[in-house]
Amino acid sequence: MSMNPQDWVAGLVTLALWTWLIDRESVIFEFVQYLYIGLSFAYSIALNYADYLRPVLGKIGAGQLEYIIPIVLGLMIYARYTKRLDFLGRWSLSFFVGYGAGYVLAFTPAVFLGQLSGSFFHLWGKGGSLNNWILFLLLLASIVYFFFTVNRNNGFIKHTSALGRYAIMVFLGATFGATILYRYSLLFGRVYFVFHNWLHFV
Amino acid sequence: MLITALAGLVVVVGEYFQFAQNMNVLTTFNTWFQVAQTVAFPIGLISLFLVHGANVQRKRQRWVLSLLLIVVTSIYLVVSLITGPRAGTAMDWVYQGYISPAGSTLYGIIAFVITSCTFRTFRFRSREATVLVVAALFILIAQSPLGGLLWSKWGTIGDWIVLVPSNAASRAIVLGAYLGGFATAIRVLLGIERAHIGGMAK
Amino acid sequence: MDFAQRLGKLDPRWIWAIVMVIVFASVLAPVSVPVPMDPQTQGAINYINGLPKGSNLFLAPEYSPGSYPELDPQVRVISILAFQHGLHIVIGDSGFALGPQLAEAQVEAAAAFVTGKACTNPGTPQTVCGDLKYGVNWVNVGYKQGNGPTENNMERNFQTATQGVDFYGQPLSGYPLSKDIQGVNSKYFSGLWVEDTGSPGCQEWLANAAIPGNLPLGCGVIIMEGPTHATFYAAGQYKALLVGARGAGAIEEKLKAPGLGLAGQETAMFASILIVIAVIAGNYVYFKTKGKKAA
Repeated sequence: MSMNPQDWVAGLVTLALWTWLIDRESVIFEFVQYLYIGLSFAYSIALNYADYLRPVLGKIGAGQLEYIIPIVLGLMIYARYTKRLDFLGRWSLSFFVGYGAGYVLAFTPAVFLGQLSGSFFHLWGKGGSLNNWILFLLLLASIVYFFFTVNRNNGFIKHTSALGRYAIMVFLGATFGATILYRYSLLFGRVYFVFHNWLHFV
Repeated sequence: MLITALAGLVVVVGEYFQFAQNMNVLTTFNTWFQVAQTVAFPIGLISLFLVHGANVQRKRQRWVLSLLLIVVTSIYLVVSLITGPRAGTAMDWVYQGYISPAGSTLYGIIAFVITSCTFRTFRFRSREATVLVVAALFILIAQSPLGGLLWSKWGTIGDWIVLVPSNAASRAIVLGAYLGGFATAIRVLLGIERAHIGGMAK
Repeated sequence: MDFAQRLGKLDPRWIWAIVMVIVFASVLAPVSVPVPMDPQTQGAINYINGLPKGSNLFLAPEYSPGSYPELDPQVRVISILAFQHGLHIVIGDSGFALGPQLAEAQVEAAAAFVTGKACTNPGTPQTVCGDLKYGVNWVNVGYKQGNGPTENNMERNFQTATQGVDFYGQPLSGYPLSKDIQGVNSKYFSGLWVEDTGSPGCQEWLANAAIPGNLPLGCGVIIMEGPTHATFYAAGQYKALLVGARGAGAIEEKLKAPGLGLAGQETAMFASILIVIAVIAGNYVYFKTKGKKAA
């Protein structure tokens, strides 16, 4: 058995969370889960302060006063908790949302265009392959499936969207199969910790 | 609305126009966003404390857990802000001993639920469902060592399924998501979408 | 009630007990299972080995402790390959606060494996593992809040985006590796490797650093995200794609550096057998009881 108190805390936390499997109303599970949410939040805040905000405050102290503007913008969001100054919170949120919208238009087109051009990859000439054509045709069929505003009784649309539907089922099935393995991988990690790192059974 | 539009416009101009790139407009604006977001980040913790504070005040079910959450998190936050994320500090000790194991255990519990859900819901009810189930099982076996043990070609066919039919559907979804993102961003910048400031869309 | 009806009403806790038994058994009585190398995993090895020797690799560990059994092994094998190839590693991210700390532990483990010597003062700026040391062979810039805009700023102006300090609060200008780095772009780095659990992750780094900074991007993903990210790999936007603990396990086997990736493959094998049985049993119940319900 490990003599490290940290391993004991980690092991007991693991067992406490596994009590949910026996009783879904487990108080122990809820207690550990509540603490996890609060502590991980507090950790992130403290990390942000240590790694980013403290150097920024140092720069303001050294005379770089332009950093005061974003600090005020960030602080304004807390005004949403007061009725009188609620509008300041909306201004701050508007800044974040507007930035986000501009960011989408500025940076994501490159990725989108890469996806688009990659769909016409090696359809003709040297390097062309049957797989690229299958990919291209199934892509078109899947896109047709998502056109919900056209008349689907039309023979061509009906059969093409059906083909697209099957392709989507293959994607969802592949993702689900992979998801199952992922969750087992995470469970294995914890069981390995309990028996190897904590109890030293293996 | 004006703040939203201006913030978005600065990002778009800063990325696409040479004069703005020469003036490092976007570097400065990105930094403002970074700083503002860091300052605004603790709002999540405040919301958490308000919810659990209300539980304690009204003595709702399991209010003691809420009180423990508030007290323990506050103490940890203060200690972490003082010590910082160095090895051997209380902040690091709690991270290694509690936060990290709790997070991974919670995610690992889903392995149990996903297995029982597979037993209850994966049915060959229709053609589409059959395609989904068969694809899930094929990829599940292909991605585990079982595929290679059963048949040497299993992995190759699994790779083909992921890179061709599944890829086609995934790309259709990705392209649709990006187009939807562009449309929403334009709506936000033009003031048609106003949910973030408490208004209804035009 | 016949067998099918009784099976249909089975308490899920019995199924959970079977899951526990197979996972416990694979840990307590491990059996070595072969993990064949697939073309995508070989592509990840080729990606690292194709970078110029002595150059810098930016490692963005966009994951939380919840995904450590899948992505910690990936960071370890990529770091082993990088150190064996003479690369220097800079760790930093902007999406997951706990990622860089998890990743640095694996980078230290990789350094210990490559040099054959245990690390002294692990988890500090004074870490030394044989002839590999913090500040010279790797630096942990840490988590810098902000997601996409921060990643974009890291590409344009690294010192501003990181405020010039590392995870330990020490100035980046004090380390030989990081003192001259001005951006995550092709001028200062030869490659960008991102560990991804969803969003933010590889797509964001692709948009904010790899494309504007002209850097080849390699992506390590959890197995659940494999089919989603395959589309970017197939389009040539990712130069490498490493999927799950299985991919890491295959590299561990090749490098003869067994770790958590390889150890988890027995569980994966028994899990797939259990799921196949669950699907067959579930459909047996469905078809047997369907007629009775219709009647």
